[in-house]
Amino acid sequence: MKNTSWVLSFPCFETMLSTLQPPRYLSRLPLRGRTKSRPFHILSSAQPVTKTSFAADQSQILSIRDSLLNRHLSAVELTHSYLDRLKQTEPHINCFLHVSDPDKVLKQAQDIDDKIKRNEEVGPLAGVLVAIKDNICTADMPSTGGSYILEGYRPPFDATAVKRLKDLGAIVVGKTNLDEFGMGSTTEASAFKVTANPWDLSRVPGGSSGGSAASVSARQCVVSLGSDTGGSVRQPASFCGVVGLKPTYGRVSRFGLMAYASSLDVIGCFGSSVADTGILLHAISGHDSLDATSSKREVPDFTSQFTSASSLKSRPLEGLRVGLIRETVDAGVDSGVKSAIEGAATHLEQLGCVLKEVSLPSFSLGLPAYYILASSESSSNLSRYDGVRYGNQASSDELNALYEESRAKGFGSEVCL
Amino acid sequence: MASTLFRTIQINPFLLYPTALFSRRNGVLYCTMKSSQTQTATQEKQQPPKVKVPQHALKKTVDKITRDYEAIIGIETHVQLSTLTKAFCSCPYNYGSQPNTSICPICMGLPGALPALNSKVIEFAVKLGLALNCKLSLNSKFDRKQYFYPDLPKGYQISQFDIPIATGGYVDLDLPLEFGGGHRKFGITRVHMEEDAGKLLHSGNGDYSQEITSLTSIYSYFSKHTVDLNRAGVPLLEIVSEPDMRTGIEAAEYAAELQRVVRYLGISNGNMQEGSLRCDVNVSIRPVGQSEFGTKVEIKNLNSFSSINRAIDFEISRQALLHSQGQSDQIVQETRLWEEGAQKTVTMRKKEGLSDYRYFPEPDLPEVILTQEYVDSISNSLPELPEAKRRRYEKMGLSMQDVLFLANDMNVAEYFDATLSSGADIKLAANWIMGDIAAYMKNEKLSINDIKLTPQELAELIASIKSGTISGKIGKEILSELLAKGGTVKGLIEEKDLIQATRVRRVYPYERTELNFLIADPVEIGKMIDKVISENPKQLEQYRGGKTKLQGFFAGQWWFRFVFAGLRPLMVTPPARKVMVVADPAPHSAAALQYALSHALLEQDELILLHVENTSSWKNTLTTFLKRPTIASAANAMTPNNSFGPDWGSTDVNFLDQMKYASEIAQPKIPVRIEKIDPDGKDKATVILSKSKDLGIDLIIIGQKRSLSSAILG
Repeated sequence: MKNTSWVLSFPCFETMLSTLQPPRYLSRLPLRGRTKSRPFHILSSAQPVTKTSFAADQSQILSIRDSLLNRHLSAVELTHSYLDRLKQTEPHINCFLHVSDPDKVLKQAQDIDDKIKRNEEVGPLAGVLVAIKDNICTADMPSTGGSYILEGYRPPFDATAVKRLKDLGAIVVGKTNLDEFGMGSTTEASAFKVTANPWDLSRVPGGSSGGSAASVSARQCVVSLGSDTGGSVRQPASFCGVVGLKPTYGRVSRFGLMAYASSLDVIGCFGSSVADTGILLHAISGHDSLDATSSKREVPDFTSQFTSASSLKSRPLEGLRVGLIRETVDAGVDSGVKSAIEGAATHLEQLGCVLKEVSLPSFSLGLPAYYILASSESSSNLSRYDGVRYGNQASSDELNALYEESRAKGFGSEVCL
Repeated sequence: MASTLFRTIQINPFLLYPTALFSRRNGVLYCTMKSSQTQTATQEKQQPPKVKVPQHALKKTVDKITRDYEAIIGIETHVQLSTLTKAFCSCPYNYGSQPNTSICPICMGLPGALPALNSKVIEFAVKLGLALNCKLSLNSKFDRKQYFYPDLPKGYQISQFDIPIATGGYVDLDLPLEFGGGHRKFGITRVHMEEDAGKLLHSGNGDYSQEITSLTSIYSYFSKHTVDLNRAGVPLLEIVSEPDMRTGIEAAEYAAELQRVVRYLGISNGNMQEGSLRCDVNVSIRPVGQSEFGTKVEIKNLNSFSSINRAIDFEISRQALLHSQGQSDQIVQETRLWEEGAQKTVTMRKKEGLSDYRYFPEPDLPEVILTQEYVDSISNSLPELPEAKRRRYEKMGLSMQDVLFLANDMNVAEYFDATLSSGADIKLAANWIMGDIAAYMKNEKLSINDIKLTPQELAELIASIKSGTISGKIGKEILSELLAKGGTVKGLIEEKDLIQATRVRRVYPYERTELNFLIADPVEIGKMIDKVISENPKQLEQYRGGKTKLQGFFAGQWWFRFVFAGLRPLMVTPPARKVMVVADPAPHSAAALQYALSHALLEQDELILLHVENTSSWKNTLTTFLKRPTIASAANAMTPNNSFGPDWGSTDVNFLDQMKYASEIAQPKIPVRIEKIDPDGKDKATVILSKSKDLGIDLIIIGQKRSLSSAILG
């Protein structure tokens, strides 16, 4: 049902990055004026960042901000270009279950432009178009979790992560497709549509956050939010060639994320660069009084640690020790996967890392434990979709039959597993 | 009995001044302080069943059968906590608000919403755990209990399963004297935190409390039945008792003690009618001597302490009867519903084995970790609990009846304690609070916190009476002013010029009206009369010999003592006395009886109604006075001159019976006896006195007709 970790874990990082590749140059984007580098202090304005070597050309978010503040580009223009691209590509890829009303999106962009014109402060994510996985609640648009049982459901509140993005100026462009309630790894288990991989429309984008990964990959939006229970951010990021980031459990508030397996669920980030993903994570991280499991630990300023690729030495990771878990390349692992891991290991060594093979004897217990937790908790979490309050109520003379039929009709086959 | 008394009183035409009856403590001993708030097991117990069950014939045999069996009773109690907001969200909860007006995405269980624990719930749970002498789990957790029901928005209830916050405690209580008294200790298995579910609304008749008792045909419910989620997510503490109770009354008293404890702690209003305190009872029986338990039956829908008591007693009889008829296999594990109307339990649902609630740890909430310092700080902040209060009051020398009354309501107990700390005499303070003050609160539907009289002023009042500054009668008058308007005792005495010495000087010249006023304490007066008579045997002899003018001598003697010696009312509890009321069909006699009932008679006393058949003074006025709504008496009333007619005898019986009846209603515990005596030509006073000697009467109460002498001896 779920792919487990596809990528190497780096014990020294708090987060796991799906790829270390530098971001592709986004030549297809009609962006202008990415020439000037500005001091980067997005989310920690109290602490002036001294590093100026990190250039905006490694972050779309930073370059957008740069362009807007320098009036090289208006937010409306930018939004138009994204919406046009979305309109053009969406029929082929099917990333979105709901696309925001273009007028509303443009109105928000216009507000940002007006503010800039009046020299008012705009949020660090002003003008950044964000796609949200459809199992994350948004107040002004449907949130179905990809399930027929919640068709047309509009939550009365924003998820904490969404609220934080909006507060920082981001514009929600739509709700992305997913495997029903996040249960699946191909985005084929959606009740509504199947999303294609932008790189090859005959292939799947992975899942369950397939819509979020594909939309970033297809440049329908700048960044997107997904959710990860057992690989649902990492795996589609890998399939779609974007940066996917699964934060540590508790780093990001789960409030507003439709629960699948509550003790494993996290909201994760997709972006076309490590920097964008890091900025996005920074924006949504931190304690939330509405989520008792969210961490109270201080959120470090990821962005202050960004270094411009051009300023790197030839072996930038010199001295970093990396453990390669033997059990992840042992018997039973596909040869293609194995060679990809080995390739990554070699690459790391080239960058200066010292690789050491380690053994985690309990590794084989991970999957069974995952299945017990995930299936128990999901069974409990989905029991609220009983046809009594929302969703499609089956007509029945008897309460138990009503429950059974509503749920049989409302849930797809993956969920019923 | 109190409520029976009051209900009856309102329709009883005997009473001229109904309030007078309320002032004696017997009448209000088991009354509520505030009817909507306080209820005790004992009070409710005395309410007659609304519907008489045709069980009386069976009753005796059942009693006999039940003697061979022992009942095992355990109770699960849900206490709704009076936190400002719900357990996991910031919605307030107010009982009785419009449906679905106090809800949010969290308590509605909307997708994506998460619970965040209200720390007050932990605090209240720790308080209750400590109060019930439990061991606290410093590391506990929440679990999910899964089941489907339309009023459960998430499809699971957040509860505690294997590690409850408190375990292994006990509760001490004292059974009321009328149920044999005695101290009991019942074990507490566990206390755990959980959230409440919503309520199904039945739009048809607005009856919100009805439950769906069968899962069949429920769909038709949905067309007219909806869900109110106001209560969903309200914090509850579930208290599970050990199966230590053996009778209905023990179970009801256990529940009443839990109510006292939660009210003392201020963690819940404990109100059963609102569902703030809910009891589910498990009952099984086994033959006496058998060690293994029988099949247990759960009873739900117990909305009052009396229904707990009656439902259990019914269930014990039902099971015992089945046992004795060899049909014990018909006692099955099931949930039965108490039907208040029919006064019986009926099957609600049979249990198919143990329900599988598929408990697992709640992943949305972190563990509940208590530090010892936190527990200690709460422990130090606990108020004095009911049991401690009772033991303390008992040590003060108060009777168990007084102890139970005073400790029942924490506010009353605090008022009492404050009165004592202002220097009041213990027994006097108790009597005033349980008597006149309780009656006033009952009448005015006030709680003790609402009355204007401060404990300090009550202490002052008691001191003023004790020191003789004012009489008990004046004290009562001042009291009603203080209760209603406040002010100080000293201020009122000065304002009204009530100091007793002044009063006495004024009434000295035998002004009869003033004297009427000063006949304050019949007990005292009666004693003085006895004394006057016994100290003057010679004069009595002469008087009996026919020297009727000596009446004046006696009166003077008595009056002398009244003015100069008997100023202080007697406030100690006297031993059991025989009180005699001279009964005539006349208003003064009725007034005497009323006076006796409201002011003179104490619980342990015996009342004798003495009628001297003095035909010459016969007047059929009492019947008129009583306004008996019967045709016979109405006819009599209309034709008073016919009193010598053939109806005469029956009227005689009528008024005595009527007086007896009134007495029994007003003071149900006091035995009433009717004595008739023929004066046989002798003076009436002599007859009364000699009869009272024969009967060993302690106190004679005679209605005052015209003159002073007749007031005493006529």
